[in-house]
Amino acid sequence: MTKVQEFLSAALVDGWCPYSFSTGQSASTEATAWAIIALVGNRRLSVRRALEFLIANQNTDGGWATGPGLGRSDWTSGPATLALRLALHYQPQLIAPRIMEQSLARAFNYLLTLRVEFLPPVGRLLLLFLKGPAGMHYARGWPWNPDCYNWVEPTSYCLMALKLPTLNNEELGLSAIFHANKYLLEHACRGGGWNHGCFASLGAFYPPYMTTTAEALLALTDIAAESRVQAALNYLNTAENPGFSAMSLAWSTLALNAYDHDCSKQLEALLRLQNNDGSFGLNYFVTALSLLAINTTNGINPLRPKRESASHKH
Amino acid sequence: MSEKENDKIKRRSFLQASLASLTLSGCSTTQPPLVPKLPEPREEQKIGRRTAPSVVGILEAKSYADDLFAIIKAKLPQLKIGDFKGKTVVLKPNMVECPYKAPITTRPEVLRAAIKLVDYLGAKNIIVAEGPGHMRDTELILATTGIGKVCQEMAVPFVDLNLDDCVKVPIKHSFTTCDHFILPKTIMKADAVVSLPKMKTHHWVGMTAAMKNLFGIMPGRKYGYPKNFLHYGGIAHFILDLNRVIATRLSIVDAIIAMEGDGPINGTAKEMGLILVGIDPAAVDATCARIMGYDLSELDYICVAGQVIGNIQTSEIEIIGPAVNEIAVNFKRPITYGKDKKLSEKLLHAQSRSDIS
Repeated sequence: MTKVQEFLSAALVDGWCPYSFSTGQSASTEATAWAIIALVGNRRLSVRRALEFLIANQNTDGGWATGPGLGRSDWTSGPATLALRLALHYQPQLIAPRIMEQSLARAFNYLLTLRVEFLPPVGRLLLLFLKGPAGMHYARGWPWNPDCYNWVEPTSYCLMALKLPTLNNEELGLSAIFHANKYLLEHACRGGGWNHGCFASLGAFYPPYMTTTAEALLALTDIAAESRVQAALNYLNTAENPGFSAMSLAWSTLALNAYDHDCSKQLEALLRLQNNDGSFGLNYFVTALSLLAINTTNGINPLRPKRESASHKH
Repeated sequence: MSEKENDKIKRRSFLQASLASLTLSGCSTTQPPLVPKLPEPREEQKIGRRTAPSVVGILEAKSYADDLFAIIKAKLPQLKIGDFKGKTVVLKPNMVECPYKAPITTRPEVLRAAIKLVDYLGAKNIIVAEGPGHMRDTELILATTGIGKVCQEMAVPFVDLNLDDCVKVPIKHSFTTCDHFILPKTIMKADAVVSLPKMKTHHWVGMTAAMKNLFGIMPGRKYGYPKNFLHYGGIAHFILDLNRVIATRLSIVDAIIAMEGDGPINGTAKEMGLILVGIDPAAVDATCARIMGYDLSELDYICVAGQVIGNIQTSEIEIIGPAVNEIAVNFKRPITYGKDKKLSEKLLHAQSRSDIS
């Protein structure tokens, strides 16, 4: 086991992972989910207890909150669903299939009902009447919290959950993917890449960020040929890399690797940032992302899709 | 085209137009306003408002290279800040995102001065904490703002409030529709919270300073990046509720280089050469607004803060330093706070819910 694998496995000793390295911290749904994703590809490392934790803390609506007892379900449902899907793919023996499938069915149901809907039923009827069926296919993504607006990151996480390791082939899933792909493409920054989702406001254009660009790219591997995807890859490849941040380097490595682009520069910079105890960055979430990025050198990247899809056609 | 086809098209157009007008008329009477208006505060919301006169220090500092701690220390007797003896103090700067071109964030020199100040005033534990609003990459922001370096040099821990352990905090008589907030434990366990904002214009609420700075306390792990939930419920409403739940002990405003124009992100630098210091965040913000050339009646949340948080009238605020009317300048306004009131309101209502802070 490598130092970083050891560090992360130790964090899961109670079956869950906090965000912070400080002692006495509580469970984080997101950090636990990414720790599972980072470790699940290695069959010698068991993430059973972490999976049991996620399933046990799934809310009655099928989603997850940022931590047990912290309000209603929110955007962390995307990473949690992704963790379950990848665990089912890489280590199906860990949890009884029936239990896993039930949990996933509820999770999908939650994600598909969580999507942002701007127009009331009357407005949608009007749109249908004026523009025909094609007018109903407006861009729709996912919010950070229920009843709020679409943003790039929750949309990216939910898309990854629906597309990885393989595309969710249910009709509703495909429809959600189509509209969410459209949302991301329409919200790309001028010149390439993505920020949080506000590429322009009051006449001003805002720049992209490396982290959000990489996340969106990982969510759009099924439509790699799209010009905005290519522009985003160009941004990641040519962006100034200050090497300050393990998070941006880890995400960039994963995204470039998923598109078969060279990521050796990013990986090298990431490895220079490893802390003495094997961790990366300021918390377990970034450590998990970094482990995932390092694993690409062994040809392992669970965020690469397993097959081509035609989800952009409707 | 045959007569029959022509008739079909005419009938279809007529039906489309009729249905459109019917549905539109249905929409217009039932759609809620896009941005909830700030209501007049109720009596129970005014309980706890500071009533004693406030003191606001307007301290001149030509540049960030000046000894800012010494400048503040020299005025301590008049500023009536009190002390922080034995207390755990959290310093909350503005680190909303990487300052890629504009003076977006609190400068590290101001943070350094604040650390020295609270240490001088007897703080037992000092923590720097912030939950950046637009980016999850706190490590990057710490590096690019220089705040991480100050924390390291002064051996003060930094807590990312976006990822901190959280607790449910009930809100009584709220302005928002929330009966509770989920807030970071670091803030709730602190004996004193010090707001260290940047003086900036703000295209949704006019300006941002001591009170709006508390948005960075709401954890992104729950409310997202950006914290759209706060916009959706009404920015002004959340500013008021947050400042009623978290009573900041002190505010130190970085106005050496402020921001004007399309703030709080896309504005331009405005050299003011000032640091503002005060215990009452409403008084500090009202003074900032006057210095920026605003009439307080243009800033809803400040008007209401004058009834529920602290003092905003000049008669209730003692200024230590130059008179406001001697140093006030007309900051370039965001177009949402321009002279064309109708256009401003239209823009405000159209965008503020779906946009960043």
